[in-house]
Amino acid sequence: MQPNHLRNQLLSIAGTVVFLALLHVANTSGSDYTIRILNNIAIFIILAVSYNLINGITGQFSLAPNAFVAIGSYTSALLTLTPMEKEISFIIEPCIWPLSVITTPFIVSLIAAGIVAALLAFLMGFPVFRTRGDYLAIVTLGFGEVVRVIANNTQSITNGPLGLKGIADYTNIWWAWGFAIITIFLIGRMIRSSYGMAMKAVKFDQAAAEAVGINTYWHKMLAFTTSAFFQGVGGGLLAHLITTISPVLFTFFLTFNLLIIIVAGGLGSTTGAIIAAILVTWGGEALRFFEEPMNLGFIDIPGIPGMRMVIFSFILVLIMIFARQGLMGTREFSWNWLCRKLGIGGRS
Amino acid sequence: MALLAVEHITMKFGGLIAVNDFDLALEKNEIVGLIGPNGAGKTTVFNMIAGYYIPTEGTIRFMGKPIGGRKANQITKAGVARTFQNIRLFSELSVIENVMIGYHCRIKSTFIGATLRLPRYCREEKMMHEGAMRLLEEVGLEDVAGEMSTSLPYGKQRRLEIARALATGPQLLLLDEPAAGMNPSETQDLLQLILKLRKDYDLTVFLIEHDMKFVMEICERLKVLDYGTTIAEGTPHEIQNNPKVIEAYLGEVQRA
Repeated sequence: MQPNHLRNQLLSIAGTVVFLALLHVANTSGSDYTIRILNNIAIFIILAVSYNLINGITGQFSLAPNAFVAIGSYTSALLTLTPMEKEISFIIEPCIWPLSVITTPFIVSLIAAGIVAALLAFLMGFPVFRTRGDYLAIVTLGFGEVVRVIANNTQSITNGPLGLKGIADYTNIWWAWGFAIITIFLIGRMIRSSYGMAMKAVKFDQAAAEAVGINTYWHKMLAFTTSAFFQGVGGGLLAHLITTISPVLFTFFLTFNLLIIIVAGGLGSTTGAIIAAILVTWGGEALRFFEEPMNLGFIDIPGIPGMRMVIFSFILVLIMIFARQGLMGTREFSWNWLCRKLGIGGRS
Repeated sequence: MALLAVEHITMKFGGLIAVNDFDLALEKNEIVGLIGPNGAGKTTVFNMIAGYYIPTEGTIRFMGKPIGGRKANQITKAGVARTFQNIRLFSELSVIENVMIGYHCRIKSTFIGATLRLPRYCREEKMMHEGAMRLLEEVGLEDVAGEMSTSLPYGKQRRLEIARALATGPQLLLLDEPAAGMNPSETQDLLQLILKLRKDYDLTVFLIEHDMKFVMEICERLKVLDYGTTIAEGTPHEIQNNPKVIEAYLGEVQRA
């Protein structure tokens, strides 16, 4: 159907292999700091790409990803902690049965994290998608807060404000990037299928989408639930990367960060979400340079803590002025485009 | 049995009666027009048939089954497709994608099959693509299939919207002012297109239009609405000479 289909598939596979080889190099010879940033980037790619599915592709302005990341983090952490560790951590109230006795392998806990988050999204979807636009944003914002407050108060499940400590640091570069690649692949495939087309139709014009027989309610639900699944998995990876979680990690600021990523990348573009996730995660670290004392020859600037946030905000303002649609708009990277740019491969 | 039987439907918005006691029986393969001055309630009638409004009173039956109160997408699936007065294409999708999407409601693959591109989905996608291409040829847009829908000139956007409606596999096509904003030669082409589509797809057409020349030429029967009430019905010839219709359009004749 598509021209150069086989070539593009081969290029994608080759690209992935080269990328994995680079990761291997980074993993063996990179510093802990580099590896940590690479892991962070992978997790934020998972969160941003899945968030983009509901906000950018389906056009439903959800503000609840922090809820799903929280659910995913707690679910997978509780499943990998051993009964002994739980007994030590839960000092105010003991952990409830059966959570107190089960321990599962990491992969099982991640899948469970995804499923629990998706289940919650599914149930949330019924009230949420009775609303649209600004109202939907407010309802989902409320749910996000509700989940955090529940996490704070269900002492015997989440250990309340004390949080969970001593989570095994299972998340390494292969888990993080493995799931990132799977997320990009599956969500990308979904967007390109007729289901993705239908989601876009819901975004552009809901009345017209109904006129062509699309069940708008279920397509929103599908996008919301799928997005929550991957956010849950991302949360599980995050928990096993930072090894200590507590409710304060999952405030609205997490949602806010993800929102910055998908808006700066271009709402509706998976490529944009990936690029912006890399820029924001890595850039946040790189900009630390500006907080160090500087000598410009004629003037000495003392290090100003917080300077990087000023510069970061300034860059965001520039993006919004000069690329109002975000870095990528709704465009996507394609091998056809790259080959055209490089002037090879004839047909487009 | 009539294909579409609308009995005594009334639509009230608060105290305003937009449509009052409207009746309609469409036989298979008919082309019937709905005319009336601005604000007469024509589009409201369409919105009730297509499931956008639930009639305050009355019943709507399509192929014998009651459809009043069902959701718009279910009614589309049952075989009633519509176009809009102000063109409503999916702006960031290409021309062919706009048509392919009309087939989406009929595919059997689940989202999992579609995401993993299982063989059945691949077959269905091929079917969608071929079907959409055929429809584009039918309406004369095959050479712009890859372009963005919004880049098309107005007349072609209208045709694209008709192709998109046809992709849902309708028996009844509701056209809301299909000739609006078209020049006489485009209108003439549209008229030929509708007649051809009716023959090729065995369609029944119910349309709203202000272009009287077009309406009189294409419709076999007409209904006239004024202030939500049916004031006349009959063949175009009868309608043209009906004093009530003339009054609704031109105002009462002053007698000195």
